[in-house]
Amino acid sequence: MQETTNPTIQKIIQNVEKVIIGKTEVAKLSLVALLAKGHLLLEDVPGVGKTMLVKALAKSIQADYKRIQFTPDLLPSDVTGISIYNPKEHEFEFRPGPIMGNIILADEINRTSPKTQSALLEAMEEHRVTVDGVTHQLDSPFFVMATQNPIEYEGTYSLPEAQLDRFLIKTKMGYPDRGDEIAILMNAQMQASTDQLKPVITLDEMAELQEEVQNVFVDESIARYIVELMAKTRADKRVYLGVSPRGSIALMRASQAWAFMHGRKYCLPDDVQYLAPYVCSHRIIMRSEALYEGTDAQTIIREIMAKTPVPVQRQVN
Amino acid sequence: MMRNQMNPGVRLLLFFFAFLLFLEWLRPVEEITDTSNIGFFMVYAALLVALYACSVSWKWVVPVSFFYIGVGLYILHYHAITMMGEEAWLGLLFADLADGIRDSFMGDWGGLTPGFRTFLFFLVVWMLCYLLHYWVMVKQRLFLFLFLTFLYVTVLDTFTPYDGDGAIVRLVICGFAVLGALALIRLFTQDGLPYSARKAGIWVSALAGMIAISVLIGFSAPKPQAIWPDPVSFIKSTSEKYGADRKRIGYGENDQKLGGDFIGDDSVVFKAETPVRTNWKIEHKTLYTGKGWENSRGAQTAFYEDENVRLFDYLGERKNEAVTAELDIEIDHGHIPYPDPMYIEKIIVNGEMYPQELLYSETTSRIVPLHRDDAERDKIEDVSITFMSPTFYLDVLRENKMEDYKGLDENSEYLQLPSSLPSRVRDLAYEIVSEDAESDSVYDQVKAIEEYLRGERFTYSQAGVPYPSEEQDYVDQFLFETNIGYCDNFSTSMVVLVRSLGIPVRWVKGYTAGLSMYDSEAGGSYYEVTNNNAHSWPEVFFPSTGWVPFEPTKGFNPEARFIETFEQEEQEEPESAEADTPDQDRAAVPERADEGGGADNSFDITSIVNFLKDSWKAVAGTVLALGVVAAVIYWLRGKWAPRLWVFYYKRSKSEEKFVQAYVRLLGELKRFGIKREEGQTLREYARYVDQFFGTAEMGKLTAEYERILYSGTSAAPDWNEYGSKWEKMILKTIA
Repeated sequence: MQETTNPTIQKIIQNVEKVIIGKTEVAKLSLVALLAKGHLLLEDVPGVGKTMLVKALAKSIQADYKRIQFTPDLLPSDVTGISIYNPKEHEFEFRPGPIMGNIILADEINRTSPKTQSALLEAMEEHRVTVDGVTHQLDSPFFVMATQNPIEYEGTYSLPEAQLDRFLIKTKMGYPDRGDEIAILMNAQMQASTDQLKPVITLDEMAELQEEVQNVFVDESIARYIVELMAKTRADKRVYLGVSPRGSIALMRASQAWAFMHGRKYCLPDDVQYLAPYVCSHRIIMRSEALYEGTDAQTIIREIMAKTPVPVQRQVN
Repeated sequence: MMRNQMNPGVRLLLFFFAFLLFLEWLRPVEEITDTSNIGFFMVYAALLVALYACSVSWKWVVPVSFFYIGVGLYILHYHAITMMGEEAWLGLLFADLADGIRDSFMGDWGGLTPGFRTFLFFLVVWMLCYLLHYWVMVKQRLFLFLFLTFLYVTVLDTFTPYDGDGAIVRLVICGFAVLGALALIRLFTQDGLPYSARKAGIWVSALAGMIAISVLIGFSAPKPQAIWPDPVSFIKSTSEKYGADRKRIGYGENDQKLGGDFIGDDSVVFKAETPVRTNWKIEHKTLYTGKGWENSRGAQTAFYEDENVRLFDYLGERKNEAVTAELDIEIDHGHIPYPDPMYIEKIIVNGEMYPQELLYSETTSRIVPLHRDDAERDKIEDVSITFMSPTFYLDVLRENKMEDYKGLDENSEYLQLPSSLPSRVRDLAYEIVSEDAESDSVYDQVKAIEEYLRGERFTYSQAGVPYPSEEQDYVDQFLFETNIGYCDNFSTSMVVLVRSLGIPVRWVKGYTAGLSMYDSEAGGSYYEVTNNNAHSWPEVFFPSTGWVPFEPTKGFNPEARFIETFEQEEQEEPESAEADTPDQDRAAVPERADEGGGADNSFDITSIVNFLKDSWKAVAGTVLALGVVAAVIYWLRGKWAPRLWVFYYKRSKSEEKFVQAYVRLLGELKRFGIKREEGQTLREYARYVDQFFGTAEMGKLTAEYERILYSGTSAAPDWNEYGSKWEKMILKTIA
C-alpha cells in the first residue's frame, strides 16, 4: 500500500491510529469514502473496533457522531425522526432522528426490516429526509458507516442490490493479527480512548477537502480504462449482474479521493486498480455456479484487471 | 590470470590463426608499396609469434629478435656493401641507426637510409606481434583485430590494385575459427563451465561445421558483378576531369584498355552551327590488341599551309552542295572535330585573318593545328569547316565483291587481328554472314553483321559493363558472355567481326551530332555536343566508294544517308526540299547520343524484365543476403540500439522528447527481457525494474512520465534533470 502523502490526511490517520491499531487500510478506505462523499459498508463480526473507528474519525474532524443500532423492530421514524404534537405551541414539532448527524454508524444494518433499511439508504443517497411532508436537509458532510453481519448469520434481511450500490466501498476490518491484538490490550490498560483525541481539522475544512477531491484530474485514458474494466465485469460469463454505470462513477470518485490522499492532483491506473475490488465487489452478483466453484467477485475483478491493458501511452487519434 | 588455465593446444591453435590474420596485413605490402623481400618479415613474424605462443620469457625473446633483425639487415642491405668495401658491417649498421634516429628527430624523412627503414619496419612487425600476444593471452579478445583486418583488406581491395578476393576467404575462415575458439576459452575460464574434452570437442566440431557451411554457401552463392564502378578508375577519372586525359568519361585518347562502366558527363565540348546534321569524327585507330585499341604505327602526315585542305575519305558523287559548319570549341582537346565521313573542302581555325597551319595524319585521320615546339600553341576557339554531307548509293556499294579486295595489300593494317583472338569470334562472323546476308556482296555481309549487333541479343547499357579479365578478349567477352555494353563494345565487335571476314575496316572515334538547341539571341538553332556525345563506330572500306561509316550500336541512328540507287535520287530530286532537310525529321526522334548516349537514359521496362530474367538468381541471392544481414543486425540490436537512442535523444529537440524517450526505454526493457504484464501499471513495473537493476531511477522517471501522461498538463520536463537518469536506465538494457 502506498504511503499517504497529503499532510492533512496523514494527520487524521495518525490521530485515528492512536486508538485503532493495525487497521490503517480500513481507516484509509473510510477516508476515501468520506472524501468522495460516499458511504462505507463494513461486513464484520461484532467487537473488532468498528465503533472505535467511527468515533475516532468523527472526533478527528470535529464531527457530530451518531450511532443507530438496527434491530428487527426498528421503525423508519426511529431513524429519520418524528413529528410530535406540542400541546403548548399547538403544532407538530419535528424531533430529529439519529440520522441528523455528520458521521453515522449504522450497526448491523441487515438485522432490520427492509422498510427501515430503505429509509436509511434513501437518506444516504439524497442527503435529506422527508417526514410528514417536510423535507429536512441533512448536515454536511454526511457520512454513513454501515456494518452488516456476514450473510450466513441467522435473522438477517440481506440488502437488495440497488441499495448495496449506494455504498461507495465495501470492506471488512477482520480480526487483528496477534501483535496488533497485544498492542490493543496494552492500549486498553492505558485507558486510551477516543475521548482523549483532539480534532485535527474542522468540519468546514473537511468540506473544503471534499471540494478539492472533486477537482482531482481524471485523464480520458483513465476514464476509458475504468469503463473498460466495468464493461468486462458485465461481459464475464460467471457474473449474473455486472457493475452499473453508477459503479463506474463511484470508482472514479474513489480514485480521485485516493489520488488526493497521496498528494496528487491526478489519478493513476494504480489508484483504479487498488480501489476496484473495494468499490466493485458488492456491485457484482455472481451466478450460482461460480459461487459453488468458490469464485468470488474480488477474484473476478482481479482477473479482469490482469487482462486489461493499462493505458501507458498517449492516445494518438 | 587466465593465461595459466589455457590449454596449451588451444593456445597454439589460437596463435596460429592470429598469425594467419597477421599475414593478411603483410601480404599486400609488397604489392602496394615499394617494399620487397617481404618473406623476411613474414618469417620474422612467425618466429616472434611462435616465441610468444610458447610463453618464452622476454629475456629470450628480445635477444633472439634482435639477432634476427641483425641477420636480416645484413642480408638485405649490408652484405652487398661489405662485399665491396673492407668496412665492418656492424659499424655501418650502428652508424646508420644513429643517423636514422637523428634524422627522425629532425623530421628529415628523406634522409633515412634504407637500412634504418628496414630496421623500423622490423620493429613495427615486432610491436604488432606483441600486440597479438596481448590480445590473445591477456584480453582474450580478437574481434577488434579481426575487424581491423577486414577493414584493411577491403580498403586496399577497393582503392588500390591489390586484389583481396582470396584474402577475404582466408579472413572469414581464420576469423570464425579465432572468435569461436576464444568464445570457448572464455566459457571455460570466465563463465565457470567445468572443462571437459567432450564439450570442447562438440564446440570445435560445431565451429568447424559452421565455417565449412558458410564457406560452401559463399562459394556456391551467385556473385553478381559490382553495381557501382570501380572507385579507383572513377576517382582517377574525376580527378582528371580537369586534367588532360579522360578515360571512359567523354572523349579520351587512350583506348588501350576498354571496358568498365561509362560515367556520364554533360560538360559541353563544342557547339556546332551546321545546316546538316552529322556525326563528328576526331580520329581512327586500326590496331586491336584484344583489350583495346592502340594508335597505328607510322606517321604519314600531310601539312597544309592554309585552310584549303581538300581531304576526302570517299568518292562523293558531288551531288550535294557543300555547306559550312561553324564550331565554337569550349573544351580544346588539341584536335579538330569534323563531319563524318570526311569530305572537307576548307578548314578555317580561329578566323581567316591569320591562316592556321594544319597537320593531317593519314594514319589516324586526326587534323591538328600545327605549332612549333618553341611557341605556345594558340587555343582552338572557332572552327569553320566547309564540307559535303555524304550520300551513299546502295547499288554502287553492293557491286563490291570480295575479289575486289585482292591486290589492296596496303590495307592489311585494316585487317589486323590479334593472334589471341578466340576462334569462336571468327566462326561467329562466318555464321552470321552465311545465315543472314542477303547476297554475297560485301555491303550485305557488313550489313548483316551490323544488324546482328543491333539485334535482340545485345543490350545497351553504360553501367554493369565489366573489364575483361586477364586472359579474356574484350570482344569475345561482349559477344559470348556479357552481351551488354556501350558503343565501344558494339563498334569494336563489329570491326573484329568484319575483319574476320577479310574486309578492311577501321575504328573511328568522335562525337554524335549532339542535341539540337535553339539560340534565341542569334535566332537560329545549333547542336550542342557534350562529353556524353562521345561515340565510336566502324568505317568499312569499299573499293568503289571509299570509307563508309556504319552504326552497330543499339539505339543510335546512322547519320550517313544511304539511297538505293543513283537514279532513285534523281527521281526524288523534286522532293528534295524534304530530303535535304533531314534535320527536322530527325529532330522528331529523341536525341540519342552515345558514349554517354541518351539511348539508355530512357526508362526501359523490358530491359529491367530481361535483367530480372537473366539474373534472378543473383537478385534473389542479394535480397536473401541482405535479409540475413538485416536479420543479424536486428538480432544484435541489444548491443547497439540503446547507444543509438542515447545519441538520438541527446540531440533531439522535440517537445515530446521525454515522453518519446520513456516509451523507447519501455521498448528496450522489453527487448532486454523485462516484460510488463498487460494489466501491470507503470509504477509496479518501475518498482520491479528498479529492484532488478538495483536502481532508483526508473521510479523517478516513471513518476514524471505519469505526471505528463495522466495529469492533462503538457509541460515538458527538464531534460537536464531526467536525461542522465534515462541514459543510465537505457544503457542497462545493453545485452
